[in-house]
Amino acid sequence: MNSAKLNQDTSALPAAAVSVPVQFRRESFWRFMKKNHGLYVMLIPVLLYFLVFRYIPLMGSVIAFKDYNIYKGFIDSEWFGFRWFEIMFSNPQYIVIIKNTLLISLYQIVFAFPAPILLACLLNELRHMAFKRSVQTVLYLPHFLSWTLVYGLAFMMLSTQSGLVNEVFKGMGQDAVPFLSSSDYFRSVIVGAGVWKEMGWSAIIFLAALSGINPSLYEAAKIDGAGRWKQFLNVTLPGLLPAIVILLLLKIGNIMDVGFESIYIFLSPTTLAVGEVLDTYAYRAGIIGGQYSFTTAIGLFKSVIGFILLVSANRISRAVSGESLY
Amino acid sequence: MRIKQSTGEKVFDFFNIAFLILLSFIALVPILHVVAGSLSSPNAIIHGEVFLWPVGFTFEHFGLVINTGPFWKALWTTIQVVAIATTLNMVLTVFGSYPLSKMNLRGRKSILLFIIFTMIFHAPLIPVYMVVKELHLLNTIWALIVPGAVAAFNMILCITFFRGLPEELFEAAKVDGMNDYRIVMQIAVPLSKPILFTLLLFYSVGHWNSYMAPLLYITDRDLQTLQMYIYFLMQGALSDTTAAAAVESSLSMVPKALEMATIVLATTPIVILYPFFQKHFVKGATLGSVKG
Amino acid sequence: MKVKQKWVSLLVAVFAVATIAGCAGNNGTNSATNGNNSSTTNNGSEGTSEATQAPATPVKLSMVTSDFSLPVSGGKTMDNPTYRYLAEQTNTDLEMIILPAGQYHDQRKIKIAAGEMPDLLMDWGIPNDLFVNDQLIPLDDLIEQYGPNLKKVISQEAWDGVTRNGKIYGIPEMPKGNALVNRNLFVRQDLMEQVGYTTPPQTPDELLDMLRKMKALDPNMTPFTARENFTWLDSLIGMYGVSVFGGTVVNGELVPSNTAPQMKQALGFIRQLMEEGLLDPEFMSNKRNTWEQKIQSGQAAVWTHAPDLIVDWQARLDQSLPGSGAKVAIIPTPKASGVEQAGFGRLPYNKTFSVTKAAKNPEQAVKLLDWLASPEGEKFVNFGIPGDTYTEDNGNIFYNRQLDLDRQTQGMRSLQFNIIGWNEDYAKLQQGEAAIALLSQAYGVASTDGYDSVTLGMVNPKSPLPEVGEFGTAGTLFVETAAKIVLGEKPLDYFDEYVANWRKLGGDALVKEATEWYNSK
Repeated sequence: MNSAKLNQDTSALPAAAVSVPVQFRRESFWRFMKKNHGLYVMLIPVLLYFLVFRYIPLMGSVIAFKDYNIYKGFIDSEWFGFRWFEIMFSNPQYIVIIKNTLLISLYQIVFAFPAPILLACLLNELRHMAFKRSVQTVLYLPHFLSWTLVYGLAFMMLSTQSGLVNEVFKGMGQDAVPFLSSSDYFRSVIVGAGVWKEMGWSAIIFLAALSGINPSLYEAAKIDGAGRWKQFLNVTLPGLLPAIVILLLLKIGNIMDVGFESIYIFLSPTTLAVGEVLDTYAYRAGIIGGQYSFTTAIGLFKSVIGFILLVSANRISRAVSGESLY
Repeated sequence: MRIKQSTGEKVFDFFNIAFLILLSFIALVPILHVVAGSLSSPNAIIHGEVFLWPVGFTFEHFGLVINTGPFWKALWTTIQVVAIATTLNMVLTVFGSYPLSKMNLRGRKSILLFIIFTMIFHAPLIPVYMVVKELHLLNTIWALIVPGAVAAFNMILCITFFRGLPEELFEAAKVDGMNDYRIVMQIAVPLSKPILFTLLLFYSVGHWNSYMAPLLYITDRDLQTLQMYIYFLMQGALSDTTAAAAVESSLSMVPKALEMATIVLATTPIVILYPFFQKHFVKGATLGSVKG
Repeated sequence: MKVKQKWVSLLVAVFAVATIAGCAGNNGTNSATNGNNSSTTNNGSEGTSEATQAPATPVKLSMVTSDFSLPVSGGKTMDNPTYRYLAEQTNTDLEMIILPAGQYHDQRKIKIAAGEMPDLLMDWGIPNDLFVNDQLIPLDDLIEQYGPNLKKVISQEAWDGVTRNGKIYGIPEMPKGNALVNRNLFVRQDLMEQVGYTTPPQTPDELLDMLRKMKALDPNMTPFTARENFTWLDSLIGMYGVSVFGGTVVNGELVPSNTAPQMKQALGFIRQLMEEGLLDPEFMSNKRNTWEQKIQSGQAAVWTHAPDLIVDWQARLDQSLPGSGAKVAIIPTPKASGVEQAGFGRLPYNKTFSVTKAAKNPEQAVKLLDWLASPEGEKFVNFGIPGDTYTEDNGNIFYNRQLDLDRQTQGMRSLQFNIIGWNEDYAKLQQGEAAIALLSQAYGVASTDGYDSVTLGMVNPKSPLPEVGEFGTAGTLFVETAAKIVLGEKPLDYFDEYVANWRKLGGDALVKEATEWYNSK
């Protein structure tokens, strides 16, 4: 059942607004469309857009199965079948690369995903509006920095030679910690930097969702004697649930997308073993003589895995929470 | 009437505020460094003397960015693009999301899947470029507007939010004889201020910051957007092949300070406009909609 | 009903207008502004109207080139005074397609894939994929017929560099300063002399000694610095006669230099520098501006860069270390024992122009380039439009340098169109005596530095795997290996493991192909 409905005060349901009489339940698709043609007409521009700008170019993915030569074009390029995929999987590095990708993605789901939610909830509990607004503004600012700048800042803080954090360590008599050059810290640095950069901006979605919760539900809970914690559990969380589930499902669908720019910038020869992910690998393949076929094959692989996971997660989610993406 | 706060709640409030102040500090300190750097002298930056406040205060980095004809032209072009594109975005997204928020819409699942599929499967760059080219959008501002007319992610957010609106309102409206378009404009939209302003923010900031697509689609520099202008500026500052003859201008181009100045410039308008969005993220946006 | 229709039309109209406006509005938002504000007079003196023949209609020609990281003005090509002058001198209807330097090859590929093949193509060497796919036309006959100036100013080595299978596929630009290498060893001459080296170090051991002494002067210094991805260490590697690029002949095989035994020696030397604190320990994460800052702040005193930038470096150090007497000089690459030619790989040309099969009038391309190689063309490239940024009187040239700089046209012309090599007199007019003194020193060293490249003229074989990469370019495998060895994480012999691994993954096939080509030369 759609938990969004829980948010609504159903006591004033007009008797007249009852759904269709039982015997007409299975009316034909065309009948429904005719009756509600306004809705379908509204969809036309959007569907047209996706058709022209997403699906038509998507057909170009066929080059994943060809040896695409830009001079021969899509049609005349030689057929390659699954050979690109064979090349991929026969490369012993590939397992490591996939592992790196999935591990970083997992870190992101566990740490980076909940962070904006928590932040939004904490902000929501503030009563002093000016303070709330200022904090919110400050926290979203890092979103606007470029990753090159963020790297520069991280370097200033964490480098072994001159980094502020390490200066403190050295001052305390400890050894400097190779945050940026050791594979032990790479994932933490990447995910941590990502959280710092995006937490404030991503929280905006949840703040909007929180604004959409009907205040009378809070009133009702207070009347029932619920304190703030109980209110949070019974009103806030369920109110956020649709948004949380949807975004989580989308992240799962894009599980192999861990962010190219941030990783590429932080990657160095000493961290390649844990840091090389599918996107950086594909980028290098693309640089060498523009291996568009190879990069497209890698992209296709990422998408297929993501899609399968999304479908499964969606089913599970619908069964468990009633929320689903589609 | 306020329910009395328990001690637990007071403790929570205290730690909440403390924690948020700490977080703000962690976010703010690097930002201050960036602002400080953009206002510091080249030598101060080279010698690593800048921390949280400007050293050798100067506006020269901003000058390098702003003091050119192309900057203002690029700014104006960008403003136009953002305005037109965001309008298109909002109209398409709202009218596309509303039907899909109706759980009883026949074909809803398939259409949603149709859209979500494109969020997972991405088309390769060359075919996308070819489509834009075939539609004769290349080298016009429409290349920056039409290919990005709808963001599937934003549509999903909008659909989710619309779904949360009280169904009785819509049924009451239908009983009153309103057609779907009026329902959208007069009922759904006014109640959806939080999500609509969120989308407005996301779309407009997205257009404002985008540079990869413009770089590819626009070759005529008279049409460059602000981010393109900044890209070229940084490219010049970071180049290994700066012609020796251009030494005088390249000397004051300390790339780091330049980059900081460009970011401060590009971000300031958003920071200024944000409070106008923010005030719509108020609790109870849907208040008063359901008559008790 | 009416209301509904109104909304329907509105929705459809919004979307339709957007697309249709795009279709029709190709010119709508294009402003044909004059990029530069000069109203160039069509100077009736030399060259404009040699219309002793019937004035032919200008021949259409399109050229794709890079912006070389310089600002470019917008609008149509023929509205730009500089391009228009060039076009008029050569009777061309010119279309310049200028792509951002950082994405030059990527964007060019995409545009070609979408069917936008230009007539004339700029690159740094013959573009391999175009050549291999038969997209370029041989130019020998056209040069014979229409390229008398080209034949005069371009050296035989340069022609050899752009020859494939016995035919010429590109018109090369003579290298800057006529120097055959474009990476050299820079030192702070003041510090070098301060530690007792009044003549530059001649061997790796002497270089090591000098670096040690420099560090003794200031323990905070790490005398040598380089950049991420193991780049800009070329002078150190070059001491052993190899480079991360190109190939070396080892035991009868042509192998990539980054797998040659000499590279192993080079890595050993670099490792020693690292151990002794003479090499910037962060060099592998140095972005360009970090590296530049270290040199400018005096933290580093020895580095590798392009010789023509010596003027830039001197000016930077004058500004960042005022009063310190910092002086920049280029010194010949020291030679390891047994090495005859040390330094970077020599390249007898800088950029090249190739003509594609799409060109309807290929001879026009050669004519245009030939004009650029003529005396008038040379003046145009160096000084601009006669009567505008320079005037000539009895063979003396009066050049308005400031105007040229303010318009940002000087660098653009020379980088996009220069073909002729070093002309010291012209250079003095452009940059002043002081700068030329520095440049002459730099080019002087650069012209005898470096080693002859055995892979000149070869089409590099390549593998789709990024680890194996292209023959003669360092792949990720090399960078990782080099990093581990230099940092001391792996012993020097790990290099042999890397070579074996690289060959097994696919390098063997590349070596075989390259060796075949070498033997058939």
